[in-house]
Amino acid sequence: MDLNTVKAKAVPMIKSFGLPRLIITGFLLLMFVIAPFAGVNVASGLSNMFTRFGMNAVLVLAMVPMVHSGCGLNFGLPLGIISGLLGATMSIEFGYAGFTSFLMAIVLATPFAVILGAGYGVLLNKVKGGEMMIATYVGFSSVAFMCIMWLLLPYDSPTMVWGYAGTGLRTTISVADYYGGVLDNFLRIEIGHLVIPTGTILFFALLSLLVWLFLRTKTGTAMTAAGSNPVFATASGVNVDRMRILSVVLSTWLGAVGIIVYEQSFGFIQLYMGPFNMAMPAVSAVLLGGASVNKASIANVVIGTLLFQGILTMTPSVTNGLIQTDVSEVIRIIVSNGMILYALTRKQEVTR
Amino acid sequence: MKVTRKLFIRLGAVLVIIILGVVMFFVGKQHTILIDNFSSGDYRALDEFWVSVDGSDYLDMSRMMREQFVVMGQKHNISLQWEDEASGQMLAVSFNISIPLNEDMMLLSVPTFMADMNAPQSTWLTHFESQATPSSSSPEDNTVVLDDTASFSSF
Amino acid sequence: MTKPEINMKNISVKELIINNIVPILFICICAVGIPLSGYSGSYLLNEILSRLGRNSFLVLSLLIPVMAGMGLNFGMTLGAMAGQIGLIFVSDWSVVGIPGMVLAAIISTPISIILGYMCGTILNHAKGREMVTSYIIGFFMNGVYQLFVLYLMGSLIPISSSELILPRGYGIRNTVNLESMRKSLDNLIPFNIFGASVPVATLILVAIFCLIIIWFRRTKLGQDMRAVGQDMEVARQAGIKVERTRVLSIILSTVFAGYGMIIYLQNIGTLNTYNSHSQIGMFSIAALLVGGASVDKANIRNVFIGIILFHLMFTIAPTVGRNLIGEAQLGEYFRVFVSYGVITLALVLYEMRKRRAERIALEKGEEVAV
Repeated sequence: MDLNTVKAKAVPMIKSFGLPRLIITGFLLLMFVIAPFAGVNVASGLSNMFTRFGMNAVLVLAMVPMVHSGCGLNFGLPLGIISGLLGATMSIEFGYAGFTSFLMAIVLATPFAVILGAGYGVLLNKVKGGEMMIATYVGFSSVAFMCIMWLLLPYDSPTMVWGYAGTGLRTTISVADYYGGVLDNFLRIEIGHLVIPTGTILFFALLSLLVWLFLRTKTGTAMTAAGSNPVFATASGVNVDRMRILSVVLSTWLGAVGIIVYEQSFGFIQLYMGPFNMAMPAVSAVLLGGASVNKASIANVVIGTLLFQGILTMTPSVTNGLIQTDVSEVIRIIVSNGMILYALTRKQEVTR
Repeated sequence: MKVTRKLFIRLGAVLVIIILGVVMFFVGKQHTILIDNFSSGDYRALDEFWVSVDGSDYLDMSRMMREQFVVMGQKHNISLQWEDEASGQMLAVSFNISIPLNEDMMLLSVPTFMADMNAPQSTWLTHFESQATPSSSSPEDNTVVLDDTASFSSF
Repeated sequence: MTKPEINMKNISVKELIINNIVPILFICICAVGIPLSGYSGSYLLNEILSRLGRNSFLVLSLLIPVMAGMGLNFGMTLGAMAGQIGLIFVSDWSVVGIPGMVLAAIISTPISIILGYMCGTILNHAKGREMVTSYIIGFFMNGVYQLFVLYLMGSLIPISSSELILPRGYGIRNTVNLESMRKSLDNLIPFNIFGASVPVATLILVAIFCLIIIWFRRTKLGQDMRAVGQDMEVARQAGIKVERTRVLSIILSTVFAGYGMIIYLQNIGTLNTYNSHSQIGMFSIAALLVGGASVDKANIRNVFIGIILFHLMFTIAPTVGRNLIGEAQLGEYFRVFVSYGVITLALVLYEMRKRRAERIALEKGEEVAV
């Protein structure tokens, strides 16, 4: 009797929260509970989690506009990342330093993000229904294309090009002398082992607020309408194709900013194959936060990134402490792709 | 009636495949035969002889030599040729050996075999423990490359 | 009925070029690249024959799901994983040569069937987005594969050979040496032509597989698959078990991909435990698309034209890069870019054609309604 009422209450709750998310949250909590027994400091675990949250949150935020306009999950995130990398390398090439170099990286990345994003948006409009697969491959091809360009573009800042050849960019470039940690160290909180990169989180909050506000403007609501019901949106005078292009440009730009934020925290720019596998973690993080193929909010981004990065930081240290084996890579692959699979196979999403 | 017949055919097919697998295991198992010309116990090494395994080219074996032949399957034919000390004639012998399935490496002592060709196989064909030890373990031996972009250049 | 035919004739030349843009592009790349690479004809012939032998089986395994309307089966990596697991066991037991390959194939079959069944069932829940789903399944199962090979083999699954196991006591090493199996099939029937060795036995197997595919098209199941590929609802009304047929097509593809992987690796001679399989799907699909196939239409001719053109480009690209700009690396990036670019281009063209067809169908429907 009692069990039945509990069941009756629990089932819809679980359904609304999503079973995978429940499992992951439980798993993460379990990790924190057993962490002290595995000899892992919870405070430093939390610090790692916050740092990585700050690093990745903007990249995850880049999913939101495209999902809103009905373009699906942004598997083409590498395109945005490439714009960001172009901005970052150019900012270093021109010799800006400190916070200016961070700002200039974003400013210089913007035109690339707008042009590439617009082109990408036009392409996606021609392939409605098959966006995700094509987005994935657009991302991959652009990364491979840029591999060629990194070798050929006429950069000559000695910190960036290969020393012996004098041409061609290095695979990893340190940003320590430029914008490394400019956000992380701004208003940084340190209590014992607990470190919170306040600046990065504030910057993410600012961008989130801007996106949130944008989605509530006239254009923003039109964009959402174009996503949720294109026929109705067209009937009420919304140019669906234009809205979709706008959302793609926005997503691409957020991707560009996201990678620059990531680099300032990570300390290095990773070129060549670096951006190759960056879309999947961002996609699965937003799904983990409760988003679906056609619905995503800022809350999804925050929850998802915290959960995803929490798992990534906690499992290696805990499993290492317990069984002297690092199974985190396997867990990462299974969790992130399992999340995407779950989202792709849910019935209600198919009938959009 | 029809369903059971279909089931039997399927089970039969699965059985045939399993048997094929087992046969392949026996036929394809790799063994190493060491042909050896060392003096062992009372048996003195030969001055020189020629050996062929499964019809390969004859290999010249002088005193204190050991050669390895990598073979597939259990049954093998060994041919030996040597010069008889007394008559100066070339003599030859050909015989079959059967390697136990679970043996990776076997040592065939030719002097022992020559002393008594009618002795059972186990007297001159013995188990041999491979001396090759795996290279010392360093931490990087334990690491593996999981990066899936790594395979681009190898393709 | 006559109207579309007239249409087809009117735009035939332009249409022909658009429909075959990918092969045409490749012919151009190869035509420019071959003189620049400076390779001799016999070297290229040797390379192409060897690559034709090792890749054909893999690419052919993609044909069946295309027939069933499930697009390009990116989940063929699952079969590749199964094949690799078979090879790991076989080399642990030191079963070598052709018997080793047969045994590896026998071991891989049940694994492929299970994986294929799973993949097919999941894809039935994701109708209309099979490709992206099968692509993600490949990634997902890669995690499971790593769990098995890197953590369970040697600890839970008995593997005894110290040459395979990492020094820590469990998990398979980065590379598994298949030297004792290398080219055992390719060189089974030795034959040379113009100084190039021909993998006769492998090509015979490929030819048998082609015949099986041709025969399979005519069987009841093959007909069902084509019907499902044409229109799922119509097929369902005709009494075809749509879901079952789709799952079967994926199972078949996975099993054959497993065999293909074994043939592929016997030619290469080493198994990179953790990344031999990861890009094999992408390269096989790119090769098929280069041959002029599309998401909904692929035949045996596409397979062979595709492999020849794609691998010609693959062989010459690094040298051309070095000769042109002095960087072999550039050529390697170029061929990666072209592989991805080809898939992108083919997918875009397919989606555009599909949308145009839908629009035409809609307009026609309206005409009828009027």
